[in-house]
Amino acid sequence: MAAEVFTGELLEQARAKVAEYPEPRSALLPLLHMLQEQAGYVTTGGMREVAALVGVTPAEVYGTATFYTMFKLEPIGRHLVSVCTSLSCQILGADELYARLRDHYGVADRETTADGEFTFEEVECAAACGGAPCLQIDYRFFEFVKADEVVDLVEDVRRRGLDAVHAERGSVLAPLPPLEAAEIAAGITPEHKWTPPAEDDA
Amino acid sequence: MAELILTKRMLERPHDAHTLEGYEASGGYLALRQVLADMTPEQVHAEVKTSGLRGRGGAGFPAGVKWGFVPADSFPRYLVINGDEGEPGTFKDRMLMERDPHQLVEGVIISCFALQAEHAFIYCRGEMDLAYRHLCDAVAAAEAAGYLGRGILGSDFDCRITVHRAAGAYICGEETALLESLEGLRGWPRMRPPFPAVAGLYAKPTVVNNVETISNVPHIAARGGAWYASMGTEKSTGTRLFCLSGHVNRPGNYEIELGTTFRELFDRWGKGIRDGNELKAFVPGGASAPWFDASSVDLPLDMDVVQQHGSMLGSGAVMVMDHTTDIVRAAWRLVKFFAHESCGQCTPCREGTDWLEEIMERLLDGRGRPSDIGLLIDVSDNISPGLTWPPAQTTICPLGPSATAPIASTIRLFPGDYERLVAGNEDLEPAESTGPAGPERTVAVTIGTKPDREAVAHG
Repeated sequence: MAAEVFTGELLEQARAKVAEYPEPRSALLPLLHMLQEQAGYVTTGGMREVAALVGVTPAEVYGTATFYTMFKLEPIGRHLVSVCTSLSCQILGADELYARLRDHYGVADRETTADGEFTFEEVECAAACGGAPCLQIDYRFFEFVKADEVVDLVEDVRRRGLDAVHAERGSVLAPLPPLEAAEIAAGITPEHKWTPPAEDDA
Repeated sequence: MAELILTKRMLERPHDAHTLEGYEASGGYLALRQVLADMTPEQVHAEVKTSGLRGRGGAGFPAGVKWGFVPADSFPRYLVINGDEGEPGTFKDRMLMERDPHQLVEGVIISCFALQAEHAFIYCRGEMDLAYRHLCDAVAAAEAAGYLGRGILGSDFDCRITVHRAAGAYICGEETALLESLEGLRGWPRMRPPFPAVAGLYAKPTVVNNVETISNVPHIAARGGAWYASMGTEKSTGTRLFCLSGHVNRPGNYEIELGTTFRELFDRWGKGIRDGNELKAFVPGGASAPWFDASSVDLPLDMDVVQQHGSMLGSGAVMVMDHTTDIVRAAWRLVKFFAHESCGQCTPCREGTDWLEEIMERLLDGRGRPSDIGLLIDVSDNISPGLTWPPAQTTICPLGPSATAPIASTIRLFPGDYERLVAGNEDLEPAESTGPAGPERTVAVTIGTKPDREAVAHG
């Protein structure tokens, strides 16, 4: 069966990736990422090609791929909206936020809008708890998202594209420790340390 | 002696701290130059030991001791950096990888020199797209500048780094699962022994360290282990990044000298509880840590003291809940997390976490039976017998036992919150109980300590 995904430049990139590792099968996840970027999801045919490139069976590739939540086994929308509902986001309103999205678009978790534009998924901690509630669109962060604004945010991406919206409304880099200038100038380490009480005082 | 170590550069040069130019202009790679010019691998290792640096991934195992487990004369050996940050409440490693990737890269190179490893892997969480790109850029720039590759800076030391993008599985933050994943397999934790230091990646000696841990290494190499050990407390040296989130006015990552109290973290750094509310509960160290109520707020951020009080600083994630919080719902959310992330290998975890989630859901839906509170404890006890602290383990890795921490600690601290949910639901009890719940079989909730339990390193 002729290769359909890994041809030309992508094939070269894949072979270079395999060569980075002492054992080829370590490139399995990186190659599945390449496949998904190219084909939109991890296709059966693509997984066969990955298997040949790293020297394992297609069943082993499938077995690995199905373990990881980022790999999608079916086509998804043009944009993937991942809403964190883990503890820090939950106690700051993430459930309501996600319900607004599902209600507005009439979709359930892990479903795609009829126009193929957005797929929504609830995810475990996205590592942006300091900006809770947070979500990712195509793995770019948006923090302190308000339930009243979340539909507008998603629609904004449809209108203006992700790059423009993310630059304006998203978190481009992880937020810095939110210290005031005076605190930084003063050296933020608290001067008094905890010391265990002396035996006599106990 | 007030000073920042890990976050200094990103605060001073927020726009270019992540580039080679910004890094070099603020003293970057000087430590590596100094190490290669003046030090032996043994000397670097000795400084890390002297520093008392403990793992920042959760287990708190001393890094220098971990390095010492690698058998002499066994090559090749590998260094693997755990950047799979996914513990609910934790968001510091992402900041370090996005904002100061060269600090990590320099730490990796110096650590490889000390370990005499020539190939390191940075296992970066897949969803952290920007962190991955910044790490790839940093490695490429370091190669181009001669900090990586063959004969680094004119020495005879060779080193290369492969940045590996993960694909979404919390369990891969457990070091043996991470190694399986790095070998292209499902992230299933391995039985130990052998420990990774003896047989890790490709069955070769492997050290797995957390991003924050290794980001400290350039500073320790440059300024000495004694300098680092002069900060913090005797057994929790240096500074540490605390990820403060939840109901505080100013959440964020704070680099704080160990020994500060939770109260100071909440009030001085977090600017108090939101809306002037009362503190109800807090999670002191990530989803796996038993919770505290407001009475523990004066405990210090000291790994051993928190451990003695029945919980842990773990990954540095402190989640704060005010008096308006639905405690059972909050605990359920973490139980749901563990049920979702169970890899499925071990029965107590695979079945137990699922049942815990279902019973919690029943309580929250108003369908809870009065016997369910005892049932929750009983199922938890089956996953982690005795519900001790640190938890006893019936499973290959600690994920399953960790799932019992939010339940057992909240039932102990806030029994009324549970009882309210089942009050008046006696008619929902099955006519003839087939389950194990019932007063005579209910296990008393005692979250004690087992100080004699051997500390086990898992990244």
